Amino acid sequence: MMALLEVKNLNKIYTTRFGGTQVQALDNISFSVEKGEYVAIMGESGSGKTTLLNLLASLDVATKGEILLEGKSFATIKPSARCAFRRDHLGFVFQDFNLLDTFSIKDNIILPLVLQGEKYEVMQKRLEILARQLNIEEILPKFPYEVSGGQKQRAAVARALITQPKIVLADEPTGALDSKASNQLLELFNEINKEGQTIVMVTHSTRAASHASRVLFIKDGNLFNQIYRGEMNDKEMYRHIANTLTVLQAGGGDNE
Amino acid sequence: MNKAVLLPKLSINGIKQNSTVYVPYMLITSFSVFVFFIFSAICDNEILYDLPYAGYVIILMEVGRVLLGIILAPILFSTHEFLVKQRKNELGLYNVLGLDQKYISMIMCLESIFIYIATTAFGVLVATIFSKLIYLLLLNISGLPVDTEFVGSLRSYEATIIYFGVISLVNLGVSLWQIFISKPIELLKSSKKGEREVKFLGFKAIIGFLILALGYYIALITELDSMIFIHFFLAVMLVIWGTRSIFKTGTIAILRWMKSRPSIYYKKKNFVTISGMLYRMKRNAQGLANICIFSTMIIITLICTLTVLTGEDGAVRFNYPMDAEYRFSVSDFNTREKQESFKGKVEEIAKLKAVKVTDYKEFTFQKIKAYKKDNAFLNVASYEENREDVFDIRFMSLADYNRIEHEQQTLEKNEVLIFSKGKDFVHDEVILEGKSFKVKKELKVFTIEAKEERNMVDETYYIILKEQETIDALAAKFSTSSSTLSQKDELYNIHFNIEGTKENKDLLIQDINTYIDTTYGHRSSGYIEQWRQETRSMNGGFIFLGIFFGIVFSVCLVQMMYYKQITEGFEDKKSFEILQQVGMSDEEVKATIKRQILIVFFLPLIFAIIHIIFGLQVVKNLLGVLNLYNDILIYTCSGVVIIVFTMLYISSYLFTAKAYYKIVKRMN
Repeated sequence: MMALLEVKNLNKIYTTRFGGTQVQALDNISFSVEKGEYVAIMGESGSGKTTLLNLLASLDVATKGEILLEGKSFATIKPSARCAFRRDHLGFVFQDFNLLDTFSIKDNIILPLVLQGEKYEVMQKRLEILARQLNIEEILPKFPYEVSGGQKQRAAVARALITQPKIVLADEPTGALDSKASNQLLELFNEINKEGQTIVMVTHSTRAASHASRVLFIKDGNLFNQIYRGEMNDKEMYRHIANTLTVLQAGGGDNE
Repeated sequence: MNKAVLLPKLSINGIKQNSTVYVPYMLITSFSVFVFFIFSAICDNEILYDLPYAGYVIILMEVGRVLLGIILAPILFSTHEFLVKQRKNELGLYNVLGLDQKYISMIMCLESIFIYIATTAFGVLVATIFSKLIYLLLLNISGLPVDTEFVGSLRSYEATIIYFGVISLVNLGVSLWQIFISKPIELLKSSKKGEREVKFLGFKAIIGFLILALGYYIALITELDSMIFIHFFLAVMLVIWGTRSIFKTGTIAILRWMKSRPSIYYKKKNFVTISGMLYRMKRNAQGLANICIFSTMIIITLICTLTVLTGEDGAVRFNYPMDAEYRFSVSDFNTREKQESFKGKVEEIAKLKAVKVTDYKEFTFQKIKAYKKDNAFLNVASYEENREDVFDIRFMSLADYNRIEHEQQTLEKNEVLIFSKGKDFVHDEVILEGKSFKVKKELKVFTIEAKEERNMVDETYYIILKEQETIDALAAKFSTSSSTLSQKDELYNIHFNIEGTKENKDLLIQDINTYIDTTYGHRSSGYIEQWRQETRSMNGGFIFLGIFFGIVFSVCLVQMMYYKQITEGFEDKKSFEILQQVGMSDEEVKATIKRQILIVFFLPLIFAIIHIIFGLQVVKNLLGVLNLYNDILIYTCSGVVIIVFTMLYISSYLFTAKAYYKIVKRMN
């Protein structure tokens, strides 16, 4: 079976503004994500994980290598169609929620559908189901500045899911939440993953990563290691990740 | 780094880094300095006081200076407020990073001093360079001799430096106060809260509409009488109030209605626009209302200016349908011999000065004052009513009338012809001190007088009767009281036109006037060119004011648009970033922005044009005060001004929209 998402020999080189020095943010990274997987990508600040996520989100273009979604290469998508592609196939959850203050929670959630030109009835139906599932029915008419961080993030998840995307990309989704709200969000991710939603999450929280079915470790733009959950429970997974991170920080990489 | 170096560096950096808000602020301040200095310099130029006919110009310039002083201050204050808001974040950051409030204040002080010196110096410098030229422009459009010297006075420098010094101080005070009352965390974080809902929206919208309607109503029914200025200001106040209120409530009501309909609201092209507009509608509405009001002011100023500029000839002719007129007391000028000798003298001088006197008209009238009630004219002594109902009546004989008009009208003893300089008399019968006469015909045209129905300032009636005896008897009846007001006055009038060069015409009149001084019974005289010069001096002052205030208002308008756009740009930046992440394409973002700005910017223009349409009646009456009664001219000028203004408006829209795009555009 073909993987849902395939990343092949991905390179990203940034050139500083005045020419001169070049920075290799990603160095020949390859991996694939199967349908229904829940993958966490870990790494320290500056390791290249945000660059990777931007590439996966088609917000940026790779210097070398390619990314394929269901066998279709990102490179073949015209820049003008990239936006629609993103809207139709990908869902995003951000660290700082990125909800619009001008919209109510309800309007924030259905925004992608409005941009798709969907019928109001369809929006309404999908919203109802999601709102019940995410337990945010009460806050729908409120505005983002009137609700808590955890509620905001759940609204953001609802917005990511409402287009029924092939992959949800999450960038440090627990980064701005307290531990209680973080746990609730991670449980929510588990739940939607169980229902078949593919999730790729960038994080440097060990706890967040311990919920995933696979963890990729990135260091200095290279794929350093990966851990499959297999039969491990969350606790074992957590310990395993923590150990790997210790090794990572102690300097087990090729670039040392 | 030493604080003595660091602080000035931070202030200069602050200005540089915030150039999007500082540069326009400094330009506007410099421009204000420029205008203020120019007016001061003109007012302080003492040579102007010695010029003939310059009285009106001096008064108007003084009025202009005072008005500028009143108008500029709030504009500079509000511009500065934008600045403070923009800088709060940066200053908050300094504070968090450990820069004491004391030092922040010092940075602000240094900044203010720097801006004050830079703008004042620049404005005064440019003004000094151009003041002579602008002075010449004023002299030229006022018909004053352009070779008059222009002496710069130290007083105008003083006044400018003090006036803008005070404004800078107030602005500095506001900044300091703003910084001291707010905590660092508040400085860093701007509020994200939307505005609170407006209560009683429908009710308020109706009230606003009624106020506006009342303003329009007053503007429409107002007549050219002594109340015109009061009515004008009342209408202006009501329209301003109504505009503010309607923009605030009406737009919110419409937006809310649109939001309540999923079929409208949840459409790609409306969704972002409607919610964005609702989010800051109150503030937005205020800005839009101000833009609308300023646009209206600019258009009206320019219409008046252009009409005054182009309508001078008509205005002058209104007072002098014929080029020259002389009046004599009949008691001293009653013999045919005297009359013939005067005519002979005029013709003799004319020949000498190489001009031709044409349409020489001579006639007599009995002038009395009478109290008018409906179709009756009554002796003023018997009434103590207000003076508004007291009119000039001139009784003229049919023979004189037929002669000057080259007509063969006939009248019975109890019949009259009537001519009103102002409103039509209308009635079929006129009662003169109890005696009834049949109005055979109401005359609409009279060679010696211009008629204008709207004219309620100078209402004079000519009543033409068959026999001189009847006239004398009537005049006697009307002047029985001892008050000087009611005294009858019998005058012998000579009106004529002159053909020739202006120089020669002037010489002719000069010589006739010298001759008249030796003639008995000369009462008054008038000459169109002299009146033209007086009119031009007054109108020139108005035109000059109109041009300058038109420019000042326009600058304010552009400034308001610009700051509105960039503050919203800064606010919307994040929103558009999010929208793009969620899947809005560049083109869609652009289309949304375009749509939003389009609605926001053309709403005020449309309202301004509606205001003008309703206000035109008042404008016409105001211009009537200057004897400008040419409706076609006023409509043409209005059309031209509206078209030109719309073009200017669109270009300033494009200019400010560009600033907005630049801010909102994604940074990668």
